[in-house]
Amino acid sequence: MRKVNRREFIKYSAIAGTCAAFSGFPTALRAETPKFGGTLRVALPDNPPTLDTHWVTTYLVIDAAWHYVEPLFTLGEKFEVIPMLADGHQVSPDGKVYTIPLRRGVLFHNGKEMTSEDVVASIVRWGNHAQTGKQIFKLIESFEAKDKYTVEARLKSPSGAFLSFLALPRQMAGIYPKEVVDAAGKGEIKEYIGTGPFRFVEWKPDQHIKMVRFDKYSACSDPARGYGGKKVPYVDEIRFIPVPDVATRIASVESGDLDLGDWIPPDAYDRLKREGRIEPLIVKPKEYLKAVLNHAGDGPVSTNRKVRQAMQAAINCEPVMLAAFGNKNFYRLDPGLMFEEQVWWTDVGGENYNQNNPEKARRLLKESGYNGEPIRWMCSQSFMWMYNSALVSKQQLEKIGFNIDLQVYDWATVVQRYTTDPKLWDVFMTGEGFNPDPTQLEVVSCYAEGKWCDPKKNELLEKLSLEADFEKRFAIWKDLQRWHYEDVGVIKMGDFFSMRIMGKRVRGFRNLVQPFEWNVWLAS
Amino acid sequence: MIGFLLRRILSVIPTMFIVFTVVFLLLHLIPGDPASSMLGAGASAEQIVELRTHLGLDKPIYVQYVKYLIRAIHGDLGDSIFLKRPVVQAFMERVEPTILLIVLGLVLAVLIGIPAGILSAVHPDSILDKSAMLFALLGVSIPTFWLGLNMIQAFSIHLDWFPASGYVPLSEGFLKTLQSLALPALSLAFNQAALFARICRSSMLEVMQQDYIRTARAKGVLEKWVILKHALRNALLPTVTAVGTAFATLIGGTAVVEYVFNIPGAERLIISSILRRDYAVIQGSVLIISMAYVFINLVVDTIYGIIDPRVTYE
Repeated sequence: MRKVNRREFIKYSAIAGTCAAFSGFPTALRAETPKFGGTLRVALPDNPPTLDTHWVTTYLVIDAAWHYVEPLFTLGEKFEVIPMLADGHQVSPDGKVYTIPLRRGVLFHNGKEMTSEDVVASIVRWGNHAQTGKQIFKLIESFEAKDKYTVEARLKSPSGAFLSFLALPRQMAGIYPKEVVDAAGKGEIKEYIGTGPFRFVEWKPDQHIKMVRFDKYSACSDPARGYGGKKVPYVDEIRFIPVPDVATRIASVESGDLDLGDWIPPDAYDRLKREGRIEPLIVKPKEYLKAVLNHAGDGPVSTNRKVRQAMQAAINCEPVMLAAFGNKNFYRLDPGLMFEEQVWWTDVGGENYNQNNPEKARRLLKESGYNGEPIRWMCSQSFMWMYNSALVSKQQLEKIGFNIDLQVYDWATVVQRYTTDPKLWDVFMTGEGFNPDPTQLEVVSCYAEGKWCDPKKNELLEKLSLEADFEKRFAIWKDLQRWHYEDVGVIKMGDFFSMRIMGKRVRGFRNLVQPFEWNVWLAS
Repeated sequence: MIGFLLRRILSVIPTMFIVFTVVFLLLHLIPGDPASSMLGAGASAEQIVELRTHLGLDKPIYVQYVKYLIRAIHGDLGDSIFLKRPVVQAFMERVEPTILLIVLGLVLAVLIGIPAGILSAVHPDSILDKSAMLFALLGVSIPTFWLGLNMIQAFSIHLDWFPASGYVPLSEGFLKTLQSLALPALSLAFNQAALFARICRSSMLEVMQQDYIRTARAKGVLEKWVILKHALRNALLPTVTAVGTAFATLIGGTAVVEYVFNIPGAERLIISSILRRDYAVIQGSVLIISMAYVFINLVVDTIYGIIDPRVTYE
């Protein structure tokens, strides 16, 4: 069995794929000596539905929860997989057996030491419940404890994406004590106990989630990098305060009542930069805007590739992105289905992106036999970027002869319609979040949103999942992206960024895709 | 009087039944469900179905209605799907800031609005009158959220006198609570004060023309007593009605202020619950608020008799 130490592992994983130039930049790092103490007040855009990281996909959960609970692996500075509660890993020569030693002496907040039985209970629960867990567990034959401090995963076939699934922040594979997992049964975790640098204290919905420093926290010995390495809980207490109104969120950070705020609209950027009371930070990359096409319905979008190709040929992405995000600092046009900061980035198939070619679109539409059937395009004013981009797209498509029926709902209704009945819709606007591995993208998933289950795509995706060598995987990924633009899985509009705001007393904050507050301290 | 009160209390039963049924049907007939709201945009259809079953939302609507009605009759308004606690408990946890905000807002509105109305009526067409009526016009025209945001800019960001958002509970000290509610209460009071000033002015102007006012003056009663004792008491009835109505309206109307100032009150609970389709909380809260509304109307009707002996309860 080939043994990989921590240093080699980091090197290999960087090469092997889940790596990229992390755009998060250390704007907040200032040459000051960190100090302990104080209460950090972080604005959340809403209440998370739970603090159980296995339970739901929404990122709001992680914003707060990953301060108290940690995964086996996480993502480093360049989106590479790095160990967190694991102490490296070993892979068998046939690539099917992963042996994962655990860090010793790591304590849960209830005082118990973390062992392999906790890890097995947590990972099996995650594999049974979480969307990402279910996806990777299809490849897993068994996940068992080998001894008190070692776990072993046996895969049905080699996979280049196995560890990146365990490291994914979304629906994170957090490690809970076995008794907490057992007590949850088929429901949610009832006691928020983990190994994280902060200990959960209380949750008053609409008021705050309170966590305090865990004095017996067992920090990783590696230097802090990305979401992992050495985590230091400098502040005594973190309060996550839901502030749904954006204007109030900005005003509260400006007045010093709160220290950090996320999901700030780009139109506030110039004013905040000019006034200088607080620091606006651009989160880059964040997501990309896509028109999700329904592949499982019975309308022309689902059944006729030429209709989809005509739509793709007609779209001029620049006005769509400008209408959605207003400020040119907050978007860019790019054909890659993985971000350009990642090693997975490629522009193959890019000739079909942002074509703005009405002639070609009209020709394709004519060839398709489209008879003016209404294209039901759902959008939501809950997210104005979705609504505004849908308006401009509608205008562009109607110019070449499409009949777009724009249906405006609240976001919950959009979600309900696309998840429950594929006959109710044809297109809707949403974002594709950051994923370290292309197999995790919703745009290529048979189960997410548009349910693009084209046989050729499925074959390429399966090959990509089973291959472990990065160069071979990258070649398969290029083929998959090229085929995406030919079959038109979704219509990609462009990458967009978001804005965070940071109060003047905050130090040590790393502006990465997913915010975290360990290693953050407060100036006097 | 007792017969009147009994009749009014009995009339609450059909009212509450209608409210209960309408709210239940409205909520369950609009699209969107709590499962998809809770699971987020990336959830699979399978996960949503699983959670719907777990929450009992897969049952037919009439089954859900009957079950909920029986529980409500027994005083159980159900459990919040999102907050995972009884609705009554969730509502009561949020009621303190809402009640304090309403009371403080109304006290400020009365303290500002009624003197402004009296001064206006006593000095008609003067600069004082015109200024007071300009204030009243602005008060009824300026949206509360706009006023609130501007007050945050002025008094929190620039002057640093008050916190921009949040609520400090009474258990942490009355003065701190007062400080946290000062701006929201003021923005709530501005609109109501304007209304009270206009109503008070017009009824005072009417009363001041009455014969008994002329008689009082002819008897040599001091002008301040003519205004305060003879005119104001008679002119107060429409204002009391307006205060009562404002109180009842604000029970369901502080949502914007709670939202702008990020106050974790009962109104914000309802707004959040609507967005996440937390049926039990919406239904329970609307029922509680409806009952409060009916009760306040009853109190206002009773107060009429105390203020104006001419009112009878036949």
